[in-house]
Amino acid sequence: MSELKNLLAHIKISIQSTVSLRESFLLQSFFMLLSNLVFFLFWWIYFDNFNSIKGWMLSDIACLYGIVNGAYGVFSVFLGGSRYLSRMVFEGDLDMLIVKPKNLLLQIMGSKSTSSGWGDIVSAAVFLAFSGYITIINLPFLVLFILTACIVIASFSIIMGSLAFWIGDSHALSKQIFEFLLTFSNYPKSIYAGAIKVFLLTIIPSGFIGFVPIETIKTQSLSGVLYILGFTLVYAYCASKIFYCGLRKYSSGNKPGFKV
Amino acid sequence: MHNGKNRKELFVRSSFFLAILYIFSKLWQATQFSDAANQQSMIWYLSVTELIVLSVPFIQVDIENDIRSGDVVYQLLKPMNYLWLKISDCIGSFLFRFTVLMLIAIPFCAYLSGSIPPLPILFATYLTAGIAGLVFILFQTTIGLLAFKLQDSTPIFWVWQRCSFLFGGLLIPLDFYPAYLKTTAYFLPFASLLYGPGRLILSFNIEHFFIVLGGLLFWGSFALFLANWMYIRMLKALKVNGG
Repeated sequence: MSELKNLLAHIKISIQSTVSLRESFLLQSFFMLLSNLVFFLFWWIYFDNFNSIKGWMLSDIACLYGIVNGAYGVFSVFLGGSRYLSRMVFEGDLDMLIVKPKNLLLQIMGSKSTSSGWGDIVSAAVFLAFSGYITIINLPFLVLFILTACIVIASFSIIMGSLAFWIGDSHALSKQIFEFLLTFSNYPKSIYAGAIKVFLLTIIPSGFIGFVPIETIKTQSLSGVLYILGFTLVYAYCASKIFYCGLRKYSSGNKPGFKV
Repeated sequence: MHNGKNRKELFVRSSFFLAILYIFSKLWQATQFSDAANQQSMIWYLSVTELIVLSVPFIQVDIENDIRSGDVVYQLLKPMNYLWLKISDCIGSFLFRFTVLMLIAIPFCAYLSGSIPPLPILFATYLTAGIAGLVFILFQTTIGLLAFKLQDSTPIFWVWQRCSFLFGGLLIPLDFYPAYLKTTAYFLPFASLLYGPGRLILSFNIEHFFIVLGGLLFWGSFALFLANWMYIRMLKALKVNGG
């Protein structure tokens, strides 16, 4: 309980620091919303010309965008610190956090909040409203899947960040592989087949952020819900194990600094 | 070589480029087209538009940093016009990225689509794509110079970038757009910069090639005029206010 309180306190401070620069905060949020809408326009034009992609319609894509943007938005605003993990490891910035008698991973995740994440959250609301997927039955599933997708994104980000424990300066590589996770999650299941589908459900788990939740909602499948929940829990556990395993290799940066 | 330090960044761009080409090749394969040739040429179209977008360096960030840090004053002392110093440096990086990404894109698209356009068409397309990249640099230089007035030109760049994606037909050719959006796009520079070169690979004819070239020359001259005008204003203001 005290760990959760500590995480919430970190998140609160991070959010306050981004919101304090009001103009920048509003601009970044607005442009993220605009950017998401521009990319969605592609699908709108696509479905204006073609009927469907093997059963996927514009409403399904809107729901997909809603879940992916919602999950990424929640991640960026509340748990975004893990995106900087590789840099923190490489530059010895963990020193200041490691000495505190609190859960290190939660401290890292709550240490940064991104303004543009709010734009993603607003976009998610717009896309979900447009999709027509918001019904009394679907709503709990949508919220649940946004949260599970957010945990998968955070876990993946921790695994990628932890690479720095073994290979040193991996920030660019981690960032790129992280981009792949999001890029692949923005497209319907029907375009992926064979080995690439297996790849997207295991090594880069984009499927659990995007198309698996949509298919589960469409088919109202209980086994699908359990499958997503099970994967999310196992994946988060593995990410935590990998991080703490890597942490044994961490060497201090001997960097003088101060952090509140 | 100057561009050697950007090797890591180029690797990142190349892998993103390949991933996007792969995803869209699958998307177009899953799409019902009236004939198979369209399916194959769509992936080539995307390779041209993405190539232009991914090859253009963020010159506006460079200029903005110089202005915000005050470094511009020291750079103005150099025996070369600051504007051309920045543009020529950026063109060097652009040509390097453009060549590498093009060499990656051609075999990869040939593999994905199972076909390769005739060599003269490829040459004409990549020639116009290269010129389009140069015009992009000129426009982005103007955006960077705006930092002198606004301090932060990033929001303007974001608007520019999103508009270029939408009105340039980055992911899908303008032929698929609704009429009103297509008409709007034709009045803006983006259609000449992305859709123009991309369309050459979809359906090439010599008349269209010269139209694309004409469009690029028009918007290039306009962007050059704009960048020069902004630069002169910047110099005047510097003389009045000091560095």
